[in-house]
Amino acid sequence: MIKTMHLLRWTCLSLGVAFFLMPLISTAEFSLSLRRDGYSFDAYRYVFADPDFISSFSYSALIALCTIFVGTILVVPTVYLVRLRLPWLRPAVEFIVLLPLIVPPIILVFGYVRMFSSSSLLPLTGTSRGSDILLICGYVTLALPYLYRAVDTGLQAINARVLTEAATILGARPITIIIRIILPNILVSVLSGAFLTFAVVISEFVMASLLTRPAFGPYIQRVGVAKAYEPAALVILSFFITWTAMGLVQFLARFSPNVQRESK
Amino acid sequence: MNLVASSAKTNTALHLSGIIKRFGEHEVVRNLDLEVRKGEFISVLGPSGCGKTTVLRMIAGFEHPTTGRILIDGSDVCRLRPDQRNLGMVFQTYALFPNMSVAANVGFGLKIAAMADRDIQRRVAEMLELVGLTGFERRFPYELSGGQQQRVALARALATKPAMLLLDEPLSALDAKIRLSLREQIRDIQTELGITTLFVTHDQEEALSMSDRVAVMNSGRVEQFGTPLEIYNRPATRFVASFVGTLSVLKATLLDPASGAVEVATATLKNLEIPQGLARGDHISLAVRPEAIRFGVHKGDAILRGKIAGVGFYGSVIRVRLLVGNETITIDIFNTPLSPPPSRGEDVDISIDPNSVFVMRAE
Amino acid sequence: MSVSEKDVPELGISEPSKLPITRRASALRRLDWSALIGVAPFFIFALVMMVAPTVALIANAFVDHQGHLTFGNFADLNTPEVAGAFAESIRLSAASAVIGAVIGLGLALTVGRGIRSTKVRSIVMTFCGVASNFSGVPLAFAFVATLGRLGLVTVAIKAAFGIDIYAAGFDLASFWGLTVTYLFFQIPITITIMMPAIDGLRRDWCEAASILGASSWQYWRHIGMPILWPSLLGTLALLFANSFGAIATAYALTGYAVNIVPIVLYAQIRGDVLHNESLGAALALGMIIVMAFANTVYLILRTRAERWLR
Repeated sequence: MIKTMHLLRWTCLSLGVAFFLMPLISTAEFSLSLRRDGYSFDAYRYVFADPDFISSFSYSALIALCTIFVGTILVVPTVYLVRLRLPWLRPAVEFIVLLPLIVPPIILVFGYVRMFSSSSLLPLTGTSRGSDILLICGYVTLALPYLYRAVDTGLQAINARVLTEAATILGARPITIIIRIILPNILVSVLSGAFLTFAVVISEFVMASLLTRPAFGPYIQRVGVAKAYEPAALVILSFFITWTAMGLVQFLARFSPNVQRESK
Repeated sequence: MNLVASSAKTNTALHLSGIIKRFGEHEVVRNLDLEVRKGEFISVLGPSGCGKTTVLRMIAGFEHPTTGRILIDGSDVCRLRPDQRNLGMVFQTYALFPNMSVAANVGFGLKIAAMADRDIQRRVAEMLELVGLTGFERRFPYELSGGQQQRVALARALATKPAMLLLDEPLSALDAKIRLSLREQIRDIQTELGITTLFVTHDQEEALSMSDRVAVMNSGRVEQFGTPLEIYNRPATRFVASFVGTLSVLKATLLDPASGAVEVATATLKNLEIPQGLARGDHISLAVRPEAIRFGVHKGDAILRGKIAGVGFYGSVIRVRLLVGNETITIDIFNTPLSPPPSRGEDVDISIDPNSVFVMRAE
Repeated sequence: MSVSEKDVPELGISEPSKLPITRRASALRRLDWSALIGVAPFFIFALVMMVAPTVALIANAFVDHQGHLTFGNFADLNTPEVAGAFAESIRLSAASAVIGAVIGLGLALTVGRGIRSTKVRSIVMTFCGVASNFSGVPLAFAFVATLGRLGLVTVAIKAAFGIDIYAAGFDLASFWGLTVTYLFFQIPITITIMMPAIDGLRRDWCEAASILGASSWQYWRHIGMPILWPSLLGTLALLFANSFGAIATAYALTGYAVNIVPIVLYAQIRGDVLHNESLGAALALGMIIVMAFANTVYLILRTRAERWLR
């Protein structure tokens, strides 16, 4: 009886694994099939040699870094201050953090195109720099729930209130506390949020395409339309980038400081 | 075969014979034998890791002994699953089902047994009255305090009229005051219902105050199984002596096994009971309960001299630490308004009744 | 008899008009100004880059070409195309949500409770994190490479069993093809959300039920499933919202073939078909209402589940 259950469980898992691995295996197989007479890495070689690939990937990577930077400096002080000094603002913050889930990116970018068009107060869509700023803001919005959740959980785990009180009694000023005590301890959470954001930004398509920015997502789509085997290589690459980012998040989880939780 | 038949006729509710439990290389329970009579309240007492919870879980059916037999009411239960053994169990973490009200929780076992709804209602009311929670039918576990949750858990375990009640450190997660009141309540209910009960705990005060008999376990073995009085006054091993109650221990040298004379810190004590196998000149330990030592000189007792190192006030008891030679022993005296407690630095005489001294081999 | 000073009540009699002002002033002084300045950037960003564009867009739903206030745009939503798009979106979201939740729950139970290996579990959780973010063009392409006309699996099935699934009526660039593709991220999202809930099923509940006479099936029926139910419903709501708002995968896989709301909206913004921005705004409002409803359901159920398991 126990043996049957065991077999059933592993069968279920195998079917699940098959469903998820098949697309990846098919794509990988396809990406290696450029040459008619056998497997080769030619598709990958063409991709890496493509100047467009390098430029669009570096563009997206740069935008991702800016997003992480802006997102972090917006979220970290806010979460910390709301936790410690402004608890009455918490519902407002939670609502704002919920908005990106209710307003899908396509609607948000629609709003941007309208509000910052050439005929408005801030004609951001007119210039490429302006559009870059819009894209970063859009991505910060997209990443906000992840960043907020990561930092909030991190602050709760290290019991920020008690640490702050202890530091204050020992004579430290608020800025010192944030820089020398809070930040180092939530570094792991911040990095987790950062890697997640990177993964999301790199493969994002809708916003980048509607704001006509030369990002990695639209590039993949262009290649997908134009070539046959190169897109497969790009898909595998993009999957591995995301996998590395998520793996780092899991890896970092092991280093998160776990001070005694606040008693309710 | 014969064993089974004879057990059914006698008073034995539970019989564990030759129980060994191994987890991989580690032997958690070693060759354990235990017999519990019907209606008895038995405590299994021991430190963390001694195997007491494992024994309970094997009786319940959540673990299987590597070797040995478990007989409940005379029949071997090894092949029975936990849901077939007709036992009741109370867990340390209460384990109340969070999605059900108090009434649904208490009636769960009866619902599974396909009892009629009206009968279930009646029985639930009966059980809640037993534990003093009438009127709580519609509450949910998250609305209850720890003590209330545990009482619901007790009602739930007893509702199905099981053959035996198992309690796995049920009071450990509770506040001290609740623990005391619940202790009495559990014992009262058990006496009223007459149900055979097995109570696992690491708190010796609980075990001694509640049980008919106590099994003291250490490293997988039962070191002594007897009434609380026996365990406390006549401990069979050094472990039992030191685990149950407090002990004051003095180093001594054996002078004469025949007359029971030992030398302790320049004084000679006579008429002590010396166990077998010790010879003149052996190093031994004298252990005595704090309340068996009295201040002053009493005829017939062993007399020692010491200096008071500290006095602790515990309400009804005053605990005095005395320096004898270069060892400290503990003396408990009642706090009576008539005699003032001794003060630090005083030199005093103490008397020990030779009959209440345990003589053991030195470590 | 003269009235001594002690008899006159102190407060308010002398200068009643000053009281409300002092109270307001001290309330303002009690605000933590330095902290408020610290959180200001966040709120300014939220206002300017999140709330304002959305509100401006929604406001546009209530005006027509000339800028006059109207509800006409909502009447325009009643065209077969748009109403059809909403219906199709709801069908697609419901299908991928329900199937995704059921399969996801099954897998989560298998990995979380059935198979006790922590290594398997951590690999599965990492993969779920990756797969739930894997959408859009790469996902569409991966499925084309698998189940497209020349896909690996399509070809393999033809070679092994002689069945041509396309001849039998299957088409990846269709409603069901899109549903299957969506499952690639819906299932991992389910596993990610349900795993903590499954972990929350304490072992002592299972043991207590067992001692009280319940079989494995009875435990699941009376205790396990009821406890998981709020989380599962919440997951359904979240999956629904997620699918409803997704566009990249649909566009990449089916182009304009499958008529769903985000695709219609995309067309409006791009100005491909009908350059009617007011209609687009009305569509956006419709989408937001659906998403807000689904997310509210999710939050209510999540709070309820958390309250039980305190």
